[in-house]
Amino acid sequence: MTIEELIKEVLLIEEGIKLTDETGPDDIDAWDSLGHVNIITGIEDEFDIEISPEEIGEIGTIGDIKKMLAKKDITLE
Amino acid sequence: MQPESIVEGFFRSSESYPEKTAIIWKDEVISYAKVSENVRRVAFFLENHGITEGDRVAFYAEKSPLFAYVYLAAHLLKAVAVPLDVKLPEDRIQEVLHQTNPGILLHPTEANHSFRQVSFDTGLLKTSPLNDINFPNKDDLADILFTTGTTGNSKGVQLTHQNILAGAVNSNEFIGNDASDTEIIPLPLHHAFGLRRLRTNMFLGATVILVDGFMFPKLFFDAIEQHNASGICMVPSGFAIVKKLMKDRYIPYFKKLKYIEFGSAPMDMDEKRELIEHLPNTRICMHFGLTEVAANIFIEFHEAAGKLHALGKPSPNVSIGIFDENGKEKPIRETGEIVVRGDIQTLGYWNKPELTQQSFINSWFKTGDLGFRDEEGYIFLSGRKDDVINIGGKKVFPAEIEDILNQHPAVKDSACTSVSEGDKFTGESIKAFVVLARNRKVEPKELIHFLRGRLELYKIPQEFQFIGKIPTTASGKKQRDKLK
Repeated sequence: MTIEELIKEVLLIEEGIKLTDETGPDDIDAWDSLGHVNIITGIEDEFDIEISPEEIGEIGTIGDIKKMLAKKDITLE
Repeated sequence: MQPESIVEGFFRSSESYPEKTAIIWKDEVISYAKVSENVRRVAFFLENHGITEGDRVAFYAEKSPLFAYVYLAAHLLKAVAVPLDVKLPEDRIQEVLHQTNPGILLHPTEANHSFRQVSFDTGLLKTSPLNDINFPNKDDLADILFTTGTTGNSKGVQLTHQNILAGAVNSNEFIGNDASDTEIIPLPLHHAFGLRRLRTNMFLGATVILVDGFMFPKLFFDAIEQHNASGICMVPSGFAIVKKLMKDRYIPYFKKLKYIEFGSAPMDMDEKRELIEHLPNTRICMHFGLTEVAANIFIEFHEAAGKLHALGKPSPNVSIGIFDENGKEKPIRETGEIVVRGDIQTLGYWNKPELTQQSFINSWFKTGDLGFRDEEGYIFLSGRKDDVINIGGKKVFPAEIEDILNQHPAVKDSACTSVSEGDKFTGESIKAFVVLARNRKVEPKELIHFLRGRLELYKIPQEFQFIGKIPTTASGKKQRDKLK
């Protein structure tokens, strides 16, 4: 599963909506505080990792999530 | 002499401490003198657009200093502030505009509304400041705040200057915050709780730090470190989010706070105990209230450590009654309806005399909450008279969701209830029971997409169950309790 697919599933975003590395909370209504927590939890469950508060503090866009995962040597599809 | 309004108190603060910081927002640090000047500029702008005493000023409540300018400017002209949730669906906005018929609608972008509308960018702060200042009287109408009613239609809660001033004075008296404090406000400003905190601090001459929600708790920590923030207002779901994202890193920062005001929703007992343990020197206050009678009950966790399951005791200057259906006070430990009396009490609902009449018994406001009082005067909550669901501090009436859901061609009927074990962040969550139309099928995901754009996100059910029939009474009233 790609990060975009995971976010679409967690936030129940319709298929037609395009997500890019620049997409963040300002672009999607459902990406509010609770949506943010659900994305973090979804990534932790999907990749069986724990994301530290410092790493969470760096996450503002989809691109930031990918960078964080890359640092953990997680390869995405 | 005591000021008769928040706006009068604010201008007194501006005269007393012109150089003091009033609002911090992102990288902007704005003094009382500057806020007061901008309020007078917006007031002049509104006056030039024909706004006068009693007119409604509708505006989108974006989290920014502009909110404070527009809000206080409306009051300075003795007009009535009608803040609108930026995430409110379009048809709901239209309903509010139709009900209030505002003299102006201030919108962050140019949208096609049928009311006289001006963009926030259109020179709001470019005019001269208003010079002739006359403060409103305490009995003048200050705000109309919209909440959803049992039938799903919006109702406008009317608050006078006395009401909102009393809400500020009472909570300050309980919490003990003053002009020396700097408070973080992550709550939305259209919501009664966030708005009360803004008013309260502006009235006192304190400093507020506006932060967009709970998504980036590091901003709270920065505010505490860099700006010596001494207080924060939160809903329990916000605190749960902070804990999830920051784990126990919040402790050394929150430990420095003089006070926290929680409110709007129940909080898990373990979290209350955890806060008591980790924040020994912080006043951890929690209010119980509703838009109509703000923060009418308060509890402080350290002082009431043995009564943490109670709502608390009546707020300063507020009377609480536990009434039977005839308006007679119930004996100790017997459950009745919680009723409220005091200067915080709303006048009633905008253009809804019948609903207003039904909401009072003698001169007491009926909250719709059921509870009892113990021997020490603590009030306990037992339940609700109606089917209202509390999602992270926001009240949701099932009928509102059902009305929209039933418009889907595959849905014949529906009933929504709260799920008692609920969501770990929002407390309760919503489950929809759906009766399908003949020979129709639909996936929950499609229903969710259907509801999006028609309802606020927090009102969308998380769970769906398809059933054959909604249980009803002989008179046809839905028995939602039977579905739980």
